[in-house]
Amino acid sequence: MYHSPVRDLLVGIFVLFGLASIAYLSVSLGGASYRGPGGLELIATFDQVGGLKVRAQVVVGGVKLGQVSAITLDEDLRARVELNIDDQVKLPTDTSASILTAGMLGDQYIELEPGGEEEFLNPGDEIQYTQSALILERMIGKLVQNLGVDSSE
Amino acid sequence: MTDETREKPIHIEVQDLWLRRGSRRVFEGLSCVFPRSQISVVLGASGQGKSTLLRMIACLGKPESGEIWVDGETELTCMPEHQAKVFRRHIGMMFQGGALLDSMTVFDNVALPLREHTDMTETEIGHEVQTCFQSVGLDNVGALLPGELSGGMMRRAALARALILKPGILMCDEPFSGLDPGTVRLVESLLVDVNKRLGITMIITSHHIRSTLRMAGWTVLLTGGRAISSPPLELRDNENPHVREFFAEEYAPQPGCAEAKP
Amino acid sequence: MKVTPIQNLGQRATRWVLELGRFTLFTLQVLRISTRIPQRLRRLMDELYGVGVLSLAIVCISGIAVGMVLGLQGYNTLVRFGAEESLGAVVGLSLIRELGPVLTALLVTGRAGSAIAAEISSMVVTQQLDGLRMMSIDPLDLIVAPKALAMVVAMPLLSALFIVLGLGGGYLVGVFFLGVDGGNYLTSLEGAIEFSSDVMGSLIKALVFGVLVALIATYKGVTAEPHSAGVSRATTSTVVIASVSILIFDYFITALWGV
Repeated sequence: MYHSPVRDLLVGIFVLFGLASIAYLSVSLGGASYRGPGGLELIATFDQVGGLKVRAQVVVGGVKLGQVSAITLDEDLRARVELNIDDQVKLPTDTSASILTAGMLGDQYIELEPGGEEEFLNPGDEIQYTQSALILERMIGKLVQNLGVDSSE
Repeated sequence: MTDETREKPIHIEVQDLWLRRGSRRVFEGLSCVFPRSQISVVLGASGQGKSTLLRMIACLGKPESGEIWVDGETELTCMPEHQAKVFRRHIGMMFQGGALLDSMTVFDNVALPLREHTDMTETEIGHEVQTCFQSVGLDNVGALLPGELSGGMMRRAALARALILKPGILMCDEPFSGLDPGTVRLVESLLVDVNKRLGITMIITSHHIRSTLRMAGWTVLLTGGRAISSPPLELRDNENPHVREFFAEEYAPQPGCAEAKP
Repeated sequence: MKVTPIQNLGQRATRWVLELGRFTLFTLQVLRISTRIPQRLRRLMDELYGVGVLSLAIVCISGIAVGMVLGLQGYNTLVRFGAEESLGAVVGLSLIRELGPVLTALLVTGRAGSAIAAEISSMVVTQQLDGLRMMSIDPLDLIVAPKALAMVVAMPLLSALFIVLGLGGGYLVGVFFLGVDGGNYLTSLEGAIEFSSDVMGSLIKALVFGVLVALIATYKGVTAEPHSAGVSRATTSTVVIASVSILIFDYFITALWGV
């Protein structure tokens, strides 16, 4: 084989560009971060989670901070959602969690609104204030009902 | 090898080999011997199994039955693979067409056995390869690729590679095929020279009767799945119909072209 | 003895299963030999040149072309729903999840996979592999493993390059030719792509495809018949079998990974 330094250089450049592409796709586009998913684990219980899925985003003020790590049913037959958030974040104990939809037909995610308390949530704590997901079909159903009631009055 | 074995005139003994390939019988009780330090030429029409015999002696294939003894001590057909690997280092093989790796330079090809099987440093390897080149009459071709060599040079390079580990047995599969008569003479004298200088047992397969008669100390003719072995001149004068048939074939002038004098 | 069609089928099936068994043994041997690769780094580098660098041209050009087509087709479809600003997401998801790994693998099979099969099978014909065995050098160690590993390493890299260039091609067409807003292209792209589900799956696909092509090409090369028809048969069957395997495995990985 030609043990040519030019060839070795080209292999090096190829590998470099390839790795750079992988890095761009993973980090810049895909949002993979060096630290694992957060570290701060919190619980939130909802009556209705709607279309919320595991790995859905957890957002504060529009900024993604973590993911939903698990969704289960607790003893009261309410939905128990486990959140995994960046552990650098300090959330007051009266933070509220709502399930919102991205756009009309988009994926559902959890928005956390920080409260005003001076004490912060610790790992494993439960978020007290939750708002369940709005189900589009039910809303439309109600709207139609209301319209029907209005028109019969 | 003890001094005693050095005295044994028979280096390799093939006993009663049987082999079938598909529906064809290749060997049917083939037995022959190869004397030490001599050039033995294996003759035979195409398809008689000359190359196959060589491969079996090199432990690259096994017969259905039969035995091959080296120095009267080592039996090849029952050898396990890891032992065979060690054994093969004592055999140098020169393939038809060279079989040099065409992706590596001639130098790297000849150095390959040294780099793989010894701890020699690059400088030592360089020396050894140069010495080997000189002994086969090659010079300044180290940096070329095998594809850039002429037929004669390629045989020399293949020979160099076969000899680099200083084997006790050298096997050459059709070393003269495809060469012009002048080059045949050159390769022939090269092989004779190597045999004289190194005293190495050589087994050569060939079609060239004239060069065989010139250089062989021993001949083995493969015919009908068996072997007829004898010194070359005896073979030439042998009355056996198979032998006569073989010689007649090889000497028959082809219609329309003059017989080439090898 | 005349063989009935059923017997023929049975014989073929038996041969096929035998072949699969031989292939599996070959794979295990190559895996075992691959652990010695640190001694063969020089050859690995040379093979990376042959597989990676020499495939760059076809992968890059095709990547841009495919990206451009996606940009165009995506725009034509989205504009009907007034959703053309989501072009980035459409191009990105198509490339990353499916077209990137699958097309790259098919292109590389045609270019580098066939080259590997041809090289190794012609070494069988010219007795170079026998020569190595004669010198007690394992052809799997010196020749096969470096080529196979080079393919496995190169495939994800080439796939990523294909995707990135494809995204660029889509940008080129969408933003410069069709008037999609550049910022929107990028934000919709970034919004739609998630590492663990999309990019990871894409890389895993590329890796699996690389392994498939590596093993099939080297196996077909080593088991080629020792005459010139053997070389062409090894090459063509490599391309056919590898291509089909890629598409089949694509389905299974997509189903299992949920990509």
